[in-house]
Formats: sequence, C-alpha cells, structure tokens
Amino acid sequence: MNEHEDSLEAELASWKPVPVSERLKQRIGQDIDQSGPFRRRVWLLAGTLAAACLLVMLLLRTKQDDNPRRLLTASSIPEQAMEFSDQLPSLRVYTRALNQSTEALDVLLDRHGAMGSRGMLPKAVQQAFPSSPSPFMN
Amino acid sequence: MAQEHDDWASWMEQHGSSLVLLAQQYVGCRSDAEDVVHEAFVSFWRSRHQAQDWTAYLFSCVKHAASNWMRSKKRRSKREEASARPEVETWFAGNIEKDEWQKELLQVIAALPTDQREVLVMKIWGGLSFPQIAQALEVSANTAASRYPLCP
Repeated sequence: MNEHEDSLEAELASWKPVPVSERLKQRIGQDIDQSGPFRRRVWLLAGTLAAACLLVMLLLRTKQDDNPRRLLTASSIPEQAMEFSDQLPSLRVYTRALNQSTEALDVLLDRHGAMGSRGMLPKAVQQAFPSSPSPFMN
Repeated sequence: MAQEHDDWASWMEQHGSSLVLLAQQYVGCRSDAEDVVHEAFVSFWRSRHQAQDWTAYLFSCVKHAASNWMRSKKRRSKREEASARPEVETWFAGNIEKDEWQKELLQVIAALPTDQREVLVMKIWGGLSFPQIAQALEVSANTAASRYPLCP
C-alpha cells in the first residue's frame, strides 16, 4: 500500500506545473520595482510637508509671542491710556511738548504743578519732585 | 535557507508555477489564477519581513488572495462558470493528457475536494512540509496531514 502511494507520489512529483508566463513576471516586476522609488517619494513628500507645517507653526508662534511687545508700542496704546500717560510727568512728554512749542511745555508744566499740588500725581512721581522751600515763601 | 534569497525573481522562479497551480485550484481559469498570484506575490514581497517562514507565508498569501477573489461579487458569475469546468489541461506541462492513465489520474485529482487539492499541491509541487502547510492554511499540522489524499 505504502509502496503504491510512494510510487504515486513520485509519479505526481514528476509532473511539472506549467511555468509562469513572462507577462505575469513583468507585471510583478513592474509593481515591485516601482513600489520602492514610489514609496520613497511618498515618504519624502510627507516629510517635506511635515517640516513645512512645523515651520509655519513656529512662525505663527513667534508672531504671537511678538504681539505683547507690539501692544506696548505707542501706536497700539489706546487713546485714553495715552492721554492718561500724557498727564504724568516724563521726559518723553516734556520733549514732545517742547517740540510743539515752548508755550505747550509751559502749559504742561503748569498742569503737572497743579496736579501735584492737588495730590493727583502718583506718590512715586511726587517723591521724584520733592517740594523745595520756595524763596518766595520766606 | 530560502529566506536568504532576497530577490523576487528567484522566489518567482522557484515557486511561481506551483503558486499558479495552487491558485487554479480555487479560481479554475488560468488567467484569473495568474491575476491572483500577481496580487498575492506583490503583497507577500512587501510584507514578507513580518513572517518567520517566508515560503509558508507566500502560499498563505495566495490562499488569501484567492479567497478575496472568490468573494468579489463582480467575479461571482465568472467563478461559477470556471468551477464548473476547471481548466485541468493548463495545470501541467508536457504530454500528460496523451497518457490514458495520467489523464485518469488527473481527473481523479480534479474531482477531489478543494481542501484536499490545496494540501496536495502544496506538498507535491510546492515542496512544503506538513507544518508549513498547516501554517499556510492556518490549521493544525494534524489537520493538514489528514487532508493529504495520499495519506497512509
């Protein structure tokens, strides 16, 4: 029985399956050979896109970080705040007033003097201008 | 070991004909079997590093590709037609059809259930061991051996 099966097995093994067609080999070869460079190109494209996205995100973040600084610039200070800061004595305010005219500087100095006498200026500013004994007081 | 050959043409040269023969056991028509092997081989080549036994995995890929092919609704009618009349004359090279005894033997093989034919093809023409066949078919080695039509 086993001998018969062995011979049958040997006989079947001697049959050779029809070889693969050249067309199939070519199709497989095209798919396999093209998949390498194609995949590499896809990865390269994906990497480039990711890098570009990262760069854009970094730029946006940097701009956001810059915004508070821009808020501090004179042009971005609200009108009301500007007026308030004009009321406080500072070198910048005096310079600007002097640039306009000497009368403007006088007016500003008068205003600050009046504010100081009424205690409307912050303490730090009042201490910056200690009241000196007036020669006319004596 | 076969894994050492990392050249698809060598793999195709060594297993191509038995892969197409295996695919013919499921899909009948030779041109469809070549389509199945095309899909299976490309899939195998791209994912072969995941497998421990590449040869068993290659035959497993053909089995899966053939299953997908058969599941396809578009091809159903074509499949039914093909299974009704398997192209046994395209299975083997040479003059098998001319020898009366060989012709009868071929008809006997063609009449076997698919699960026996797939084991026969993998064992005789694919050169796989029963553990490899078991791995390819995702069954136990005993089940694979019991499906072998020439099992003593």
